Amino acid sequence: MSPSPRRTSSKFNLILFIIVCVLAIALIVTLTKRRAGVEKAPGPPGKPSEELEVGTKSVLLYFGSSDGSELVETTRDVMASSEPSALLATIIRELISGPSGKGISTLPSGTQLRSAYISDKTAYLDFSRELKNDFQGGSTEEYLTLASIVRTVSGNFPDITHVQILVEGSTVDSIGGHYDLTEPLSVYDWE
Amino acid sequence: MKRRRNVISRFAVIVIDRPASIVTNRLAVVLILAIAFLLTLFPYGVDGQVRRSTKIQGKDYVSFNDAALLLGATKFWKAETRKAVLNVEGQRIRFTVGSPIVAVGDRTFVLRAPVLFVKGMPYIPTGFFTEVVPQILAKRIAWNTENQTLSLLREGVIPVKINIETSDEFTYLTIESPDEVEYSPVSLSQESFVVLLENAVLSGKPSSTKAGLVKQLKVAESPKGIELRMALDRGVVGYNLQRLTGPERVVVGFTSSDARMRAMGFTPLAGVLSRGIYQVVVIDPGHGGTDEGVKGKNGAIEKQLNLEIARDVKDILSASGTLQVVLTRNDDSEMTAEERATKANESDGDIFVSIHCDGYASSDARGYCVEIYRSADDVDGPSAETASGAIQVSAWKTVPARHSRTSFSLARNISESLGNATDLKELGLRRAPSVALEGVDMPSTVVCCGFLTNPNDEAFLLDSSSRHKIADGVAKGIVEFVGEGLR
Repeated sequence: MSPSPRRTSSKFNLILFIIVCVLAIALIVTLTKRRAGVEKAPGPPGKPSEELEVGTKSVLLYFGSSDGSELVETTRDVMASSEPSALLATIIRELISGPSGKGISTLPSGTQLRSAYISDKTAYLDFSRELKNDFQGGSTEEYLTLASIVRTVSGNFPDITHVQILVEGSTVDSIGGHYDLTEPLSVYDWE
Repeated sequence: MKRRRNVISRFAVIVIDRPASIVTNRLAVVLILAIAFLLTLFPYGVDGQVRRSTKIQGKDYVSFNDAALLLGATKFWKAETRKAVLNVEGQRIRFTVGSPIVAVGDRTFVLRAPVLFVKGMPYIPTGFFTEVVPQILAKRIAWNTENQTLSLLREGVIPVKINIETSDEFTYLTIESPDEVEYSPVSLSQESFVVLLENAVLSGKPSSTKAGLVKQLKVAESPKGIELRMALDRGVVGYNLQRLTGPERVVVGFTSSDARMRAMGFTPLAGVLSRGIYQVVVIDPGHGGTDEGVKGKNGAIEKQLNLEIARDVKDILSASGTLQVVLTRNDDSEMTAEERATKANESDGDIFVSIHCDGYASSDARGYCVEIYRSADDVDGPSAETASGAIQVSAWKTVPARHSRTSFSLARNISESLGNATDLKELGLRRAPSVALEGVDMPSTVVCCGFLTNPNDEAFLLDSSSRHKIADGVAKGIVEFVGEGLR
């Protein structure tokens, strides 16, 4: 009936549990580091020689849900960059590469990000022509395409208030005919 | 803060009761600390703004403690003089046990019942909150007779009491409130006579929900306040809406007397109906020509289905005889969004409904949705200057923003009636910079009638009788919107 042996055993269990946790964390960290090393995201075009601080950073990506009713949030580790535009480009390229688990990529396959830059709280994302030319689907598809881009930007850059989507360097009326892209999209409208 | 002490002492009893277990004891201490900490975070408690009343001698009372909590007041109790004082917003409100008189500064008010002293605590009649508080404080308290609760209202919210009185040929609905309530008629027809009371909340129960010429009264909460929705007797020929003061009230009158109506300043009800704010409906079948829209796996082509649904809607509405219907395209021609909007505006359209089908990357997506216009950049507004200072192109595009309130109502009506008419899943309302609505100068909405990328929805849309149900739902929604008479 004395509580001391039970206490010792529970203390032992606790220590064991902590050790297991520490080991598990160490394992996860090494694995992700190795993976990140293999899939090194390409640096921003035009600035390959610039020295950037490198590390990994967890970022938020938003894909369409399978029933098209909402966005699905996932986190992913990408190469960090001290330069916001470079990080933005990396994140959008991750978004283009599609989900690894739940969710659906709403960007047409073959779409590439030509460049990304931030100016005066607005993110400018310049995509290749596939975004418009290969776009198929109805308004929900188009809505979620825009929503996933805008939300991914605002989710990672809280200071950005607007997102201007460009195709081959210039503004387009829309990507699928349903939503106006001639003006920057306000991040508050696409939450 | 008697409450807080009660909780702690209850825990303390538990601790003393079980001295054997040290672990439980420690746990209890931690719990007490945690609860005490949480209580300090919420000085008035989560339920501090809603208090129950008690019936004493057949009248409704609130304990002095609860009164202080409701008003956020500091309370003083002088046992020797039997006086209770509440200090709030720089006012001293003095009650005396046994007396119905309340003194506030140098003003006095007489309550309908005296302050009582029960179980060691003064009790204050609820009338103090509904009648005196509005005259002395900025706070507003609503008295819910059904739940026997008093609740503190948000700033700017006005509690209203509703009474219906009826005589031979007249029925009057009186809406009493401590402050002036803004009211606006939403719909003025016999089937649905709706008046919106802005920022209002119902205090107490309406004296009746069915009296005289009002066959049924429903009080519905709306984002803007409350709506009084009435179904009127067939005999009603006129109505009258007026504001009166002393006490502040809005009176809605109905009469069945043709003879006395005008002399009494009533407006004829039938006249309101026939004037018709909305006469021309523009139905826009989406896509067309080389722009085929979404294609289904089993042969559905959006542009064709859109056109067939649109034609169906036109036939149904035209048959009703009161509405004129214009189609933006009645064949497979290709039109830009601008051409469609121009056609709608030039036809003097009063309502614009663009018919589309939907599509998505996954076949799981199904259902219908309605969409209304919101400019790409609402935050800065349409007047934002471009960098070059050039003339704004957006003026034309953002025209639909002028009709956002009516567009919302139109979309809501269509969404509701489509849900009743079909088995399609209701996905709700979306606000987006819809190209299809740009430049359309009238209440407008896009209806996406199901996903052609979903096998079930596609089968439904390929079947002409199911399609007719969709058209019927859209048409009914439009008719209901017209019936509401919202401007």
